Amino acid sequence: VATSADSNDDFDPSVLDELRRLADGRKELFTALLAAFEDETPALLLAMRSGVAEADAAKLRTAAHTLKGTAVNLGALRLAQLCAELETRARASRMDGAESLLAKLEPHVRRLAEMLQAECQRLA
Amino acid sequence: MSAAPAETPEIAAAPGLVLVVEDSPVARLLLTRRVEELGCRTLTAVNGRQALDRLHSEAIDLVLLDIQMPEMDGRAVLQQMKADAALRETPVIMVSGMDDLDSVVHCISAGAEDYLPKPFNPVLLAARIGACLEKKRLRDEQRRKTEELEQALQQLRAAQAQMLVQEKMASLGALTAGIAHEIKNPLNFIGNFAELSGELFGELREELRSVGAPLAADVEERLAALEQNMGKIHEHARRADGIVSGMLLHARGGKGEWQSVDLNALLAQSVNLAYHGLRARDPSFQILLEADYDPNIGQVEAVPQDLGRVFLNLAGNGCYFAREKRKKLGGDFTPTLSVRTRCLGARVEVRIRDNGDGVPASVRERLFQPFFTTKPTGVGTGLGLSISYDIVVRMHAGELRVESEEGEYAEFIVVLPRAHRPA
Repeated sequence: VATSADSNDDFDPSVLDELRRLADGRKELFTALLAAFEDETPALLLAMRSGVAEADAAKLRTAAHTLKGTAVNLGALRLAQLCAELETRARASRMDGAESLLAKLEPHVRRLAEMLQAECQRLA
Repeated sequence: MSAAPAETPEIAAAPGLVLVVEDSPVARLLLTRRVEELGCRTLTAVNGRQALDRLHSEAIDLVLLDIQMPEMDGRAVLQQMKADAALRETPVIMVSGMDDLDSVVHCISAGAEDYLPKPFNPVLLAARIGACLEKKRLRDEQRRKTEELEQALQQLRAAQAQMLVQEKMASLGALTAGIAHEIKNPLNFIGNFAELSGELFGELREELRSVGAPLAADVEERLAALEQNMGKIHEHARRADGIVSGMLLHARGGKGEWQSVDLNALLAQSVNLAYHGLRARDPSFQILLEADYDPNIGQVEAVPQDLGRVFLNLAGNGCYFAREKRKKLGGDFTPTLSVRTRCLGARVEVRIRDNGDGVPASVRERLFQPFFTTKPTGVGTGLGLSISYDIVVRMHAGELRVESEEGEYAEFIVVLPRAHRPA
């Protein structure tokens, strides 16, 4: 399983296969996943940002944990890993470096959204 | 790394209704989809409170419960479920991240059936949900069977006890009938000879007058007293005869025959007998008897011994409860038993009402069940009303119901078809 920062290893292919199997050749599942993701994620990112800015470790930890769950479910390995790192730091109240981790994380959120959009289009 | 087999996992067990409790929309969507793929129906809840609401309003077979949720988390939901008798038996599978094994252990010991780690492994998911639903189904089936058996046992016991009572009543009936019959003969002699002797006084006076023997005032006085006594003997012999006839009617043992019955007369006799029965045990007992018999009621096809037993029972109960209230309230209260008949065309209605404390709403449903009694131990068998119900409803295809206002009255209503149609 990929652990490097290489963008090719962003997604777990077996999870994607499983999602495609669940989608059963129709776009409904990915459309619903995309909507759910877009519904949930902005608030989580906002919470993480203000958690970092206000040095509110509990807030950061909760948001990072939730986003990690979503990332794991969708096979977004890199995003999950970055969330886990943030969560670990927040749990230990080590807020140094949190900001740069968050900055690294945001493009992966976009990439995940793009992946879901691509699947929607592929099945449309 | 999660394994994704090519084949669709399936559950062999009967599909059920699964509640998915998960705060994250993406996770909720995927989990729901996977569960539906297994052939189950799903409901979702986004937090613990909503989960408990759903559990109270729907018949849910299995709960998939996320541990980490804001507000009310999975552990709290599990704890509340286990504390609630209505939800305790519903199986719960905890859903948790790999980093939350401590909570998983805690939840399993708090009564969770199993757990599923995130990310979901489809095979594991199918196996655990399937096993849980199957266990639930077996448990439900077992409970249903146990309930059925208990019910059957209860019915059997009731039937046995009813048979025993019927048997006892029948043999007691035969005995009473024999004795009553034996008493009836001498009673007839007493009555008839008292009547004849009474008539002799007239003749005696006539004779004395015709021979011209004037009677001394005190002899005349004694003669009148004697005549009066004879009248009393006659009157009371007739009364005793009435009671004995009533006993004969009710007590004839063995199988009763269907016959055309004068309902008003049967009812009057039964009420009278119930009253005398209570008086025999408690001479101080007094009750105001009110009767309103519809003269148009005429003949009804019935088994008089059995139907009479119903009236005897209802009237006896009425007297008993009116008397209890009198004991409680004292002299200002007049115990009253009202008996009314009414012609309803092809059916007839009998109402027996007492002004005792009535039937509380809480016991009304069990009133006609065997062994149910509100009388103190040793006073009631709890079988009177159940046997009455059998006689009226099963045997005579009628209705037996009760109307009551607590603290005010109880009124038992018997409705009978006029004609008997053999089953």
